[in-house]
Amino acid sequence: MKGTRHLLVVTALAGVVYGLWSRPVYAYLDPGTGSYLIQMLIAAVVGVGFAVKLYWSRIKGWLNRGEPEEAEVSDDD
Amino acid sequence: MTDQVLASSFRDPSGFLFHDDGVLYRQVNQTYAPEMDRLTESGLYDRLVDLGLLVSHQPADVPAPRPDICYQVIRPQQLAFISYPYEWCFSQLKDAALATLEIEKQALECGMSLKDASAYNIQFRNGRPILIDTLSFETYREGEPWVAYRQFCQHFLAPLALMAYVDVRLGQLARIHIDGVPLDLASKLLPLKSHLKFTIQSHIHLHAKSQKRHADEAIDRSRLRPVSAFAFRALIDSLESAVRNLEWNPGGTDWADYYQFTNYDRAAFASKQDTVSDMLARVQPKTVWDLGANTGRFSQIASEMGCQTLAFDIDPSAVEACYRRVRDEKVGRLLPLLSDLTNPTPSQGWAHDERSSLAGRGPADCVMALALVHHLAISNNVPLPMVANYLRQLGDNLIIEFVPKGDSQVDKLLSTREDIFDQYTTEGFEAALGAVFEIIDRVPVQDSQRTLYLMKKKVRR
Repeated sequence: MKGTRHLLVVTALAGVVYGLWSRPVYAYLDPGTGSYLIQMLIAAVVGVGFAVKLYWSRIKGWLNRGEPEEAEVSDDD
Repeated sequence: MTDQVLASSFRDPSGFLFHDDGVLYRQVNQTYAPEMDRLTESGLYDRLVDLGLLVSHQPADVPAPRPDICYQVIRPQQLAFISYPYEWCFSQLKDAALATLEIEKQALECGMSLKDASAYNIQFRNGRPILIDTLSFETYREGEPWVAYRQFCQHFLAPLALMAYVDVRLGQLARIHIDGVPLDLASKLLPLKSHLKFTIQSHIHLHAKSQKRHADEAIDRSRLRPVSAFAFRALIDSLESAVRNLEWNPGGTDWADYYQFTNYDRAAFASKQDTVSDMLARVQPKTVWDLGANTGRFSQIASEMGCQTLAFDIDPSAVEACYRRVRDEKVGRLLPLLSDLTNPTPSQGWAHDERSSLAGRGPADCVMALALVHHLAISNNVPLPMVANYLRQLGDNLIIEFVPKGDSQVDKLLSTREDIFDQYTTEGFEAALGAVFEIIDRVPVQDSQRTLYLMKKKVRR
């Protein structure tokens, strides 16, 4: 099942970024334990894709270095 | 000095809002002093204000309501009207979500982060979303996850996904669930195909499962892993992709193409525009509420005359069309909002006081009710004197159109039901409205049976 596969991928990749962390948290919002834990896993997984995205845009930038710069995509949508 | 602490700002101990002689101020508490200083010193405040993403403020010289815990009092830029997420169309909520994420990205670059991501902290100014809570920032500590992640998913992502995947009317769930749509509910309502979308699968479905699995469980710090600054930025990027990929386009509903199907020809439409424009010029209102505004063509006359104008409509497609026009054509002073006048926004939240009712945020200097009364009186069976009394609550002046029997729109409403509306006549209308308003003028709409009235609220003795 797609959901189970995602969960496995998420869990496996989370192991890669295993580390120690025990900083206290100060916040007036209750972040929710489940939300905290899943966020750590998702952040680890999407970090990989984000790295690829950033490097890809750098490669594209390098390849296009002779051409005039493209206008930045506006957020006005 | 008369100060009044706002009932909507009690959750965050960093400070609170209060009114003094009709002006809105914010007390910043001592506990928040280091973060407040950092907001300025890091350059984040200037950066966000320049980008139009944060309301500006000035130091204020008024007495603090709680001097014992006060660090400073500021006077934020004043907004004409506070609207709520359940009054926004799809694109308004989407743009508010994207603005929140953009603010978070800017904050991270300055070493800060949003400590909340409430949709109620965003308002619309000249068609653009803007953060109104200056105290939403805290110092970013590398390793920590985003404390506002759950709130962002509940306030923005879940309702947007439901509106895009299931039905745009599910945006109204925000009205019942004041701290955002519960993710288990969103997950249950979303269709199977949403599981195939990685961002929705992870931020809503898996998120909901994780919440259920760890419900009532304290955070076990030994299980927490650091979220690196890079992974944190990736998370925000993923949420941004999730929001950007959600689309909803109006179409196939009742009103969005209304103007193509009314009794007006081009000349009659122009005549109505001229009369409305003339009546507005006579009233010279600062604030205008256009009720049943459709896509806001008449509201725009008011906004172009310099009035702060709200364009209310019941139809999400009409509000969406109006908002996109306002945003894309940079129409100033016009805010389209969803509102069902037969069940207007109530006051709600803690002690019925946290979020104001529609009437509680008025009255407007002038209310416009064009091609509206027949829907209230005939479709919803509201007797004309009750229509008059509610309009009296909402505005000091009134520009109202009476659409009599014989008009094709009214005949259409009557075609499927028995005509039990003996009082629905010009005489009945004038008697009902005339009881609480002084009728200043009446102008027939060219080439139709309709009449436009200008009225002024009678002062009750």
